[in-house]
Amino acid sequence: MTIAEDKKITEADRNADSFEHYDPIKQAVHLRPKNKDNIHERFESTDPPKKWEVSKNKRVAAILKDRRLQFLLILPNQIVFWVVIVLGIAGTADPMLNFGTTITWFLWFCLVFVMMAVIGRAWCSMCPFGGFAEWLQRRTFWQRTQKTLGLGKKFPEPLARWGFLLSVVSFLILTWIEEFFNIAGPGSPWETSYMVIGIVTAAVAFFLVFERRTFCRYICPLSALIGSVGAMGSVAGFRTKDRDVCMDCKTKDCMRGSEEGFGCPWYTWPGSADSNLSCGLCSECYKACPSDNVGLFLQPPLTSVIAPKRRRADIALSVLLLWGLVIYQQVNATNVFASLDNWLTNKTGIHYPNPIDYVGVIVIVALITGALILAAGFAFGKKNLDSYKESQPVLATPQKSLLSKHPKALAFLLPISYGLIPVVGADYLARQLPKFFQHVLSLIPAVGAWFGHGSAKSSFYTKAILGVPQIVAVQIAVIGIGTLASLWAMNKIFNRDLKPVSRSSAALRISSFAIILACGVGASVLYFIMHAAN
Amino acid sequence: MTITNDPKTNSNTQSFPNVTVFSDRCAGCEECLVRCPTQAIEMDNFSWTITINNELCVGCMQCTRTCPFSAIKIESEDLSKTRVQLSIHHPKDLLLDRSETRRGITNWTDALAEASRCLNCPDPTCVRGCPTHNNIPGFIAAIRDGNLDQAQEILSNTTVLPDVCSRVCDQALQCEGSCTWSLAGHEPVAIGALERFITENSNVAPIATKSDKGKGLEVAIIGAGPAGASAASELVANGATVTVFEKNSEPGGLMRTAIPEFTLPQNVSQRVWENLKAAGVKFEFGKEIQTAQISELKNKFDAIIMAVGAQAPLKLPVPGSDLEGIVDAVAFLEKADNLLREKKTIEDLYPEIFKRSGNQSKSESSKPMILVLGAGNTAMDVARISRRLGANATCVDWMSQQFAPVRPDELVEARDEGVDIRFNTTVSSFVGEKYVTSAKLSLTRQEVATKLPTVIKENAIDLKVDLVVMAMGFRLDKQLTDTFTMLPYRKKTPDMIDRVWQASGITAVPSVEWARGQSVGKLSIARENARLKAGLPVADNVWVVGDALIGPSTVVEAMAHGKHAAVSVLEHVRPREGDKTSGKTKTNVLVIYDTRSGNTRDVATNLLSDLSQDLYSTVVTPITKVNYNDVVASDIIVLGTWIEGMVLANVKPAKPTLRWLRSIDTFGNKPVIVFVTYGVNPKGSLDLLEKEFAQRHAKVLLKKAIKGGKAQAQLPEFKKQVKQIFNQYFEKHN
Repeated sequence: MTIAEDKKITEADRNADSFEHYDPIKQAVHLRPKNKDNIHERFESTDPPKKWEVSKNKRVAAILKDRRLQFLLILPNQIVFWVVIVLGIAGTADPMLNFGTTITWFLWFCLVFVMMAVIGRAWCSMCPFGGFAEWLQRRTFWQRTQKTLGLGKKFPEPLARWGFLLSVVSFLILTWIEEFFNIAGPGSPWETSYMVIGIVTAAVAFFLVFERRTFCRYICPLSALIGSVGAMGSVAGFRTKDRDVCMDCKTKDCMRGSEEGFGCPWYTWPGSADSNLSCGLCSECYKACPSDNVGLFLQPPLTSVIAPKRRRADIALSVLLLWGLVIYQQVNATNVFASLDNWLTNKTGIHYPNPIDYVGVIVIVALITGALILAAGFAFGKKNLDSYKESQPVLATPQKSLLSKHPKALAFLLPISYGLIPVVGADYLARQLPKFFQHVLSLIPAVGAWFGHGSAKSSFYTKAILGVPQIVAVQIAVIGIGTLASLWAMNKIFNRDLKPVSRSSAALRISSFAIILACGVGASVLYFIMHAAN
Repeated sequence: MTITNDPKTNSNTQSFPNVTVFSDRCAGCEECLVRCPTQAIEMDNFSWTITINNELCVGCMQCTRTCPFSAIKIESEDLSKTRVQLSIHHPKDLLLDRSETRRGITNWTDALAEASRCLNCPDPTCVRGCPTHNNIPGFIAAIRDGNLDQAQEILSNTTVLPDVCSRVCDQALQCEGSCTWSLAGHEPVAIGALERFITENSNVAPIATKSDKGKGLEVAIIGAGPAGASAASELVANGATVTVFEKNSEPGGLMRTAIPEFTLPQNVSQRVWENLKAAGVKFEFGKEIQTAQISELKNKFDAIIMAVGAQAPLKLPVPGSDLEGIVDAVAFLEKADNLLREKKTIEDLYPEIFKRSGNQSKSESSKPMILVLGAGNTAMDVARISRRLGANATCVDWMSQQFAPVRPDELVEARDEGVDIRFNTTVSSFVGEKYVTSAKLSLTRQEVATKLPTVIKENAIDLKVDLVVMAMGFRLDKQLTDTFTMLPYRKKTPDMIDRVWQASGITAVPSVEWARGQSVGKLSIARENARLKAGLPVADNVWVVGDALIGPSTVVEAMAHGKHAAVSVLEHVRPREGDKTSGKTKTNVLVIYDTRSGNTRDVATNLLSDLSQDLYSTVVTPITKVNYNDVVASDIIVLGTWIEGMVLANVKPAKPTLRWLRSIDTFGNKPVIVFVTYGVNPKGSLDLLEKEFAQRHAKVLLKKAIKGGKAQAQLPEFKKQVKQIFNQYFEKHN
């Protein structure tokens, strides 16, 4: 008998799940069908174009599959930060000449924001703090291990329900500490050193008590900023190639972990990921997927600002509070603020930044912005939105979470706050520019000092790349771009999410644009005043 | 018959469970939704998270166990309702009593109430916990419908011994331990009692013809124990001719010799053999087949299934263990059982030992003392039968009670019957001249189940004994392990547990109270790995099953092995002569690939495109997704991988491939084709793969290295070679 040539094995046959074989368990399992209603409509706005899959390239695929990838990303940063710690304590006391302070505040802190504005969560994939703690937690640098270190607790629900707001609070606290001690000024190098040690210690503690990257997801001071404001920069992300394969997947290796990859450390499932909001770009899901169904996709700019169907209340509030913080950092350089702070210092005995005006300015800015949004919404939006929740997906907020009892307020607050993201992000970037342009060259003598060549006499020690007027021009240009991006995004958001709920569509559109413009102009004007004050 | 209490509504209760969904973390994967027994979980398509209706929730916590991100919290009181209380029969006069002590459910009211506690879970963990995977929710639903015949039919798909297993299984470590209620910390459904209720209230059906797949096949089964019974049943039901060889004069194996009648009545243990005889299975009693005779037997039979058990009793290597009056448990039990039936007493059992004690006054203290080494189920049987024969019995076991492999109810009953059971105790020496007269006992300590106990106090107690029975377990016959060096396969749970099993939630509870603090998930997975191995031959057309495969285990595991081996025989063996095509199934080709950039996958998926689907069925799977069941079911395996390492240094097949290969104990002598795609030079990779396969009992028939960039050019030639191999295989087997 020879092989008959007439009937060829078809594609479907070859991809059969398994042989027909005695499997008594299968006979007893009767899973309920999954609810896939409207699944394609639900995700179509956020799904990147299929042809924009970078991992189709075999070289890229091989790199992403390599278990050492994240280790190699973390390693250089890890080295730099240990150098920062050591030099902060043992190196020169001159912050302008100490490599630790110069690289931290003149280069790294600016780069983080550039990265945030351009590639969103990219920093998280190479972060030395979480990276170091994760090495300990996994007891390995890059291998897939089964035995972990630590207690592996779940983060308690009463805290977890606040989502990214916890991270905002920790960012506000860290910023206050940094301003109070003038660490980023930069002040004494040892202060920077201690701050880094503090962050690493906190990270290690959280990684050893809780499971996965609970620290990064809920606590890390930069997480909310990079997650929410960084949405503007999410040019690429790990997404499902075929959502039906994910829905039908029996093992969920990307969540539970497999031989090749850890379960998602960030509690994100590629099957339902619509942005990089809580995706650390660690590529574990790409490695773990048994069906090769996770891809690295590019996506059109601002997709994660415009497109998500489920807008989260914690993100909207984070954006407002972070907006308040960046405005505070501009306001604090003005003469008016200085006299207010001095007055408070006399009254309370706590020097700059006095917690009262610190929290006060932030909260007032956030409240005013929020109030403007709500005022516009209530003035020009539909009065009755009772049936709204059923008909429109934008209202989906975390259950039992913040503000979910006020669907009407959310209907306006969420979309417009998302629309603010690019202008807020641009302001954060602009805020860091002076330090970079004025001082980054001092890195050269700082490095040279290791070899006995750098000193305060070096011409780079004080040399600025740009003068103050040029810097202000660049800052305003950045804000301008951010404002335009915000307007463009707002227009798109408006068409999808706000038009259906507006009574006077034109008025609401104009008001939302006006809010964005006000923010952009306000920030720009503050840069003038700040530098005038100097 | 109507259902009095529907478990799917908890309307009886005033309070509903307190349910919290961490919507911040819920990814909407619906793993919980598909498994919720009460359909309390719905999907919210707006937020793409789930919602739980706490009025439908019964607090079984299946969802919390299956959520990959632990995003659900359920706080609930026990809503499982009260478990049926089973009665224990205490004979008024123990002496010479043979009546069954453990009783089942006696009336329909209790049966229906207990059946109504079952939630009919969509992904029933009890089925995974059951070694032979009975459709437990299925037969319980049939009880609820009042249809015991249907229940019998459901059972017959997976078991030939429902009446035996429902009496002798340790359900706490199996089905009941993995019942969703048990995993939630409550009392599980009394699955064993319900199974017994079915068999006691309706007749176990005779063996029905299922197919003629095995027509013309002649199969020899060596050993008439539970493994042999289920293999014979499956084969004969599919048209094969079966001959069972048994060294004793009666069938039953350990079921007959080692389990006394007060636990397993003779009519129950003999029932299956009557059915097999009626179905046409031939028996040859009094014929012991040595392992060396297997090749001889191969001339007369198409396939051989060895179900010979673990026959070599473990001995205690202490001074005095060669004295007379120290006997082995199986020999003792067989004699004792007959004695009990003939209404004789212990003095008649070993007259040469007991006659010296002269006239027995029958006071408790002056009765002969039997020391039983071990405190497992067999030891309990020895001790309890000794009590019935008029002796005192003391069991000693060096393990701690919590780790001892004994049914707790067995222990309680034995103690009730006056057996002295001492854990953390071992014998350090026996004393006597010709006959053993006393034993020196020492105390031990054991803190974890996986570590052997240590002796903490030498010669703590001196015990006067008349007879010592060793019931410490058995190991495989040396001839068997010398011939098949891979035996025994130890049951083990891999570090990385199967994610389909993990998804069911059975592994989520590391310490199950009902299972005496053990992890039923790990136990179940270990049992399943062993069961799958029973489907792989140890040599051409030779299968080994039951205790002979994995060392001493249980009736139900042996039975599950027997069935799996029989299924495998039917799938892979063709008659030596006669009509070879009858019942022919397709040749199964399993293609496994490990890919990084996609090159290897491309070759693997294109390799078989020309095969006829009339003759072949193929499965192409990434190495991360290989199902061991498919390895068992395959006739030919193709493995493709890539080469890693620097251009010159450390060049070898990809790590995941090697890791997977090394995690497999055996490929059951299957033919294998290996290929690698490489960038610069594959060096010794193919030879390494061949060596790894050979160590795992697989024959590599073709090795091929394909240059990554030139895969398309090299593919046609490779395809031709592969086809040639397939043709050769095909001609040999047809």
